[in-house]
Amino acid sequence: MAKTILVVDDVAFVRKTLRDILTQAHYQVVGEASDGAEAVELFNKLRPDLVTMDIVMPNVSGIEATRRILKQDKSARVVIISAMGQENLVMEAINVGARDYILKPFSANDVLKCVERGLLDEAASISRGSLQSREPKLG
Amino acid sequence: MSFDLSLALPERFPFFHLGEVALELDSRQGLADDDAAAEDRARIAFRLLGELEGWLVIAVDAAVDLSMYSELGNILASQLANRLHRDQGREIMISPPEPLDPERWESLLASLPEEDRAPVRRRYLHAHDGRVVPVDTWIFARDRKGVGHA
Repeated sequence: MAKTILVVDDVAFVRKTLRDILTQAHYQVVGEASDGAEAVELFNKLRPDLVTMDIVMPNVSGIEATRRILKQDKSARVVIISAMGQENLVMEAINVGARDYILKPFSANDVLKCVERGLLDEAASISRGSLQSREPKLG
Repeated sequence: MSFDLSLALPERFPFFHLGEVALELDSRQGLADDDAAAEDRARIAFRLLGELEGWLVIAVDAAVDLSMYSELGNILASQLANRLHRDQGREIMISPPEPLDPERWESLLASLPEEDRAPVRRRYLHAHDGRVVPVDTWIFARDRKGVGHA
């Protein structure tokens, strides 16, 4: 049975890009949310296997949404997909329970590896070194 | 501003599966004309918050996929914040994208203190599928490092 994923990002282009990548890899995208409040609501309704979460969004941020989701369900699996890569944000995401963190702009391969890590039974270890290896190469 | 903000902008980056975005070399001298107010341009703004306060605004042809270019602007603004954090230890957050109609663009300009109205201006070129889309970028910002902020 295909793993189910909730995609959260305030930009429709990003949600569509993620949906296309995940669907092509035979994941089932069961919902999309455009802000953190909607993400929490849909998580409770859909109970996906994994949530992909942006950070900078209107109303409720992705880090706060992650905190709320994990407060309600400690087994929830959330991975962060954001263009903001500052170390303090990564640490905050880890501290609230995110399982992995990749930076935009991402490749399809980046996303799929992140999702695979997020779905592991044990929480992924997001070290600074492993984050740097996942950063897109920027000039 | 005690430092050159434009040095924190990326020179080029891949844009997902949609080609590459690169700084137009001539634009290092600043855009020749400020055409952000033109009717056929769409403007998208990102507030800069923290130890640098102000706005990053991009302007593109109004006929393009504005959701796509909202994300391009998000990446630019995020890269600016990331680089300033990495290189100068600055704590900066950005806002989600805000579309600016001409009236809001004028209102934003009018709201800026006089000393903040000379922006950093650069032009990026997004090359994909045989097409090149100019992305004009303005940064209006004030150095707030060392000043207490929320």
